[in-house]
Parts: sequence; structure tokens; C-alpha cells
Amino acid sequence: MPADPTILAPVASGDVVSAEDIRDRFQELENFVNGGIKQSDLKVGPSFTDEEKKIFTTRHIQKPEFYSIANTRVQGVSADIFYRNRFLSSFNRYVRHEITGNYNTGSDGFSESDLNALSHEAWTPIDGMSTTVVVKGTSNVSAFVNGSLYAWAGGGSDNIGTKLKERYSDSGAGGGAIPNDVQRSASRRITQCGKYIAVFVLYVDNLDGSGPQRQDSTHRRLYNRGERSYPFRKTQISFADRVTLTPGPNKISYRCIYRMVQDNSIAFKHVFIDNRNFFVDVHYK
Amino acid sequence: MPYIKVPEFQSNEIIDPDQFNDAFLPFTNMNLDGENFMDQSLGPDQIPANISLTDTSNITRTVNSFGSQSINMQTDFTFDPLQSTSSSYSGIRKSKVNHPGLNHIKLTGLEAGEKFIIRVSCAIDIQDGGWRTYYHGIPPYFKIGLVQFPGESSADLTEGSSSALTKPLHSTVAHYRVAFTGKVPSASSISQEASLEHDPNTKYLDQNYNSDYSYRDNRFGEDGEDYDPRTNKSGMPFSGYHSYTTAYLHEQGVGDNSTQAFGVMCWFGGQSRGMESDGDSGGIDGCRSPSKDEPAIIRDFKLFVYQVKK
Repeated sequence: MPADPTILAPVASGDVVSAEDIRDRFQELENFVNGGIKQSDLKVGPSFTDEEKKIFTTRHIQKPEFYSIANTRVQGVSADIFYRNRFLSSFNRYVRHEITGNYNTGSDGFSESDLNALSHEAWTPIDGMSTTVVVKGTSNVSAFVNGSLYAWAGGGSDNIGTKLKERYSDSGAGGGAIPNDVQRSASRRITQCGKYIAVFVLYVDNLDGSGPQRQDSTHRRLYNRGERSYPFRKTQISFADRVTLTPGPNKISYRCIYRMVQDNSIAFKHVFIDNRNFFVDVHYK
Repeated sequence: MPYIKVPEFQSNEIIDPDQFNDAFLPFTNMNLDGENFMDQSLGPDQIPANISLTDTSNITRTVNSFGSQSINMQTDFTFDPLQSTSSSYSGIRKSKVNHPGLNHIKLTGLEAGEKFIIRVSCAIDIQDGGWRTYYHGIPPYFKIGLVQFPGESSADLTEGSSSALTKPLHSTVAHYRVAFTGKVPSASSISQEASLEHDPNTKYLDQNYNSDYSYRDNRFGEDGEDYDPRTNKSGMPFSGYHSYTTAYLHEQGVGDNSTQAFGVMCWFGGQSRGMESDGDSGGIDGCRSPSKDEPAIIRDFKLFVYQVKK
């Protein structure tokens, strides 16, 4: 039936409307709009005829979104779907700076165990790759999380600064720079190109008091670019995972941490995370 | 019914009771049609009771995961299950060669028309073996893809097992390779001055072999500094790290075996040294066997399946 007319009772001139009355009215509207509409409220008869069914079209149905392989096999299922889609635009670029959430490796290099020991608070959610899912009902449900992003490092500096024209000449010989400087700077660039600069992982917080839980199978890494010398280090990162959500709100976020040898490492610059996709398919039944 | 337009109330203005009533009374006498529902407004609450998206009665094994698994480099295609011209693979399956961890998920009691979505995701880590030390050198590549095992169960998918029915799903196959490599210690390595800049953990020179070999510099030809004749080297800079994520829809066909397993298979090889193998050469000639055949590593692997029902 429609909203309760006793709660949404008409008022007359001079009536005083209390704050509680306003709250009750909006509560009733929310209850009606969010799940309170019955078939008797629809402009149809006691049973749906074929003609009456046309009042609903496909646009009313939760849009099925699926990541699939690059062929025509796409199967849609009706589910609760949360998605983010960021198109190519510098305004949508997400930049990781080293000033927050970084992890210093020192000269010992990348340590998986050190990384795993970090608190979830050390990992920063990537803009556009987080969502809160409110699970209805009383049962745990499975959610299928898919994400992809295009990430690359700014490059850093070799701290010697030889210019290209100094390194090479048309004759094929060195272009004037001191040979050891050329070798030394090349060595630095190539060394930095072989180091990871950022790490990514999915966290799921069921808000049960245990905090965000790391989903290990979504762990991905990004290499540095060695003063922009190695464009092939620009990387497409993707993952798919199945997680369990509990009734009530659940927070899901794909997070990043910036890795440096030490705080003042100039061989590392920023991490750019450009095009992102983030899908969470919640299967209720 | 048209859209309900709620009157605009301004701060500090006296509210007219008729305007106030216009904001609420339409909700007490409604007759809704499709116009009143926003796009995508029909959600899970409207799914009838006899619909199920997560029926697991046919899924005997729903998920398979592992942290890391090494895959050894191959010198031929004997154990390659993903050759593009084949619709089946009858060779043996080995955990460290082509079937990482003997991974699989399993479906049983299948009937024609039933559909399942299989997803897999992992990272692939390939070490830089210095394959481009010589001009003609070619680094290896890594093939990976989903494979179907009709009629096989976990007991069948053992180390060294085989089945001529093993079917590669070519639409899920990916190849990964970093086109560049570093150069192993040879006549082309860095100078003493550059070498001195690095601490022992990062330099590309191996003092474990001989403490005299802390650097090489042959800019002066045969009269140059000492060389390192080692043929194996790790920790070079152009390692590859790749994400692999794919999905496949399996629709059970008429006459298909009612038991189906799916897993990820792979193959690692295709490399060339560009020079004949000769571990004794060095100096100005460089070492002629540049690479230690380091395995690739599949990391953070997860394979899972769910049924699609209408």
C-alpha cells in the first residue's frame, strides 16, 4: 500500500510541525521508497498481464557487468553490482607520493616478510578502487572482486645528469661526457629499473572488529623506471578474487604502498595510477 | 503517475500548509508505473525465490590457490600444452613444468546446458637471465592458459599423469616476455669506477667466485682489467613481473562427460643464448653461456568457479 496517510497527515494553517513529526515523515518515505512498494501500488491489475509487464524494461534491472576474456562469450547474471570505471584523463589520474604510506627497505632490498608485517593502515586505498557493500539478510555471501589498473613510475634521477647528446654522437663514439660518468649513470638507472617501487593488495573489512584483512592472492608489484629510461616498466596490473562478505556493511579497497630504499632516495619518483576498473559482484542467492 | 515535485522551502520563510501538504500527500495515494522507477532499480530483493546464483551442488572443488610455484625452463616443446595448433594435449603433466601445483577445480554430475564461470588470477615472475648479452640472444617467454580435463578427478590429476582428452582453452592463453635483458658479467660490464658506487648487494659482479673479480673493464682491450668467467648470474635488472587474469564460460554440452575439471597449465621456454655454450671463455670474448636457467615463478595464484543459473 502507499505510504501511511496517518503519518503523512495533512497540516492546516497555524499547526505546529514538530521535528519528530518531520523525522517520522521522512522515515516513512524512506521505508516506502526503499523496499516498501507492493504490487498493489503499481498501475497493474491483480496479476501481471503481458501488456502490464511492459511497464518495466531492461533499464530497470541491475546492469550485469562481467570481466571476460576477449571473445564473445559473455554471460550476464542478475546480481548486485558495484563498479567504478575511470577513463583516460589526467584529471582522473591517481598519484602516489612518497610522503605518506611508504615503506623503507634500506639497502637490503625488497622483503616480503617485512612488507607483510606492516599494518593495514600503511596501505593507502587507491582512488576509485574502493567500495562499501551493504549485505542484506542474515547470511554470509560471496563477492567476486575484479580490478585492473595501469601503473607506472615517474622515474627518479640518476643524480649525475648526463644528457643524451653527451652520451652519444653521430659518429657512434661518446658525445663528450666523461666515460665513467656515462657508465656510472647508466649503471644507476639500470639498477633502479630492477627495483620494485610500489606494491598493491586487496583489503576486505567485514567491520567485525578484526580490521581490514589482506587478500594475499591479489598481491601485485610495480617496477621503477630508472629515470624514465625504461618505458616497458609501465604495467597493466589485474586481479580476480572471491571474498566472503558478512551481513551489514563491508568495506573493500585495493590499496597501494610506495616503496623506497630510504626517505631521501631520489632514484625514486612518483607512482602514477591511470586507468582503473573495479568491479564487485555480490551473489546473494 | 508523473514525478512528484517537492516545493522548495526557504530559510526563515513561513511555510504555507498547502505547499507542505504537496510534499507528502502524493505518497499516500500512488499508482506507479515504469516511469517512477529509476534505472537499475530492481535489485536482489526482486529475484524470485526459486532463482539461485550460487548453487554449489555440482561443484566438488570450488577454489584452488597457492602462494608461489616454480616453473622450470624448457628447451623444447615436448611438455607445451598450449601450442596454438593443437586442440588437445596428450603429454604428461608435471607440477614444475607445465601444471603448477597440479591445480584444478572440479565439477561433477553435470547435465547439458549447465553453465559455469571459471576465473583465474596470478602474477608471473620471470628472472632476467642475460639472454641479450649477445646480439642474437633471445629471452624466454611464458605461456599460460586454462585447460579442461574432461572426465578427470583429483585422483587422476597426479604428477606425471596424462590424458589425450586434455583440452587447452586457447581463448584464455597469454604469452609474457620482456624483450630486453641485462648483460651478464662479460666484456661488456661496468667499469671499476661505476662498480665502486655499488654496495655488494646490488653490484652485478660476483666476488663470491673470486674476490679479485670486483670489477671488470676492458676498455683497454686485452690489457684491460680482470674479467669474471662465471657463466651464471642472478639479480639482474630486467626481470619481468606480469599480471594474468582471465575468465571462461563453460557450458556443458550434450554428450559431454558429466565430470569436468579445469586447471591452469603453462610452459616456459623459447630462449636462445645467441652463442654456443662454452663456459670456459671470457675476457674480451665475454662468457658464452650467459644464463643460469632460472625458473619462472607463478605467484599469488587463485582459481575459482561458480555456477550461473537463471
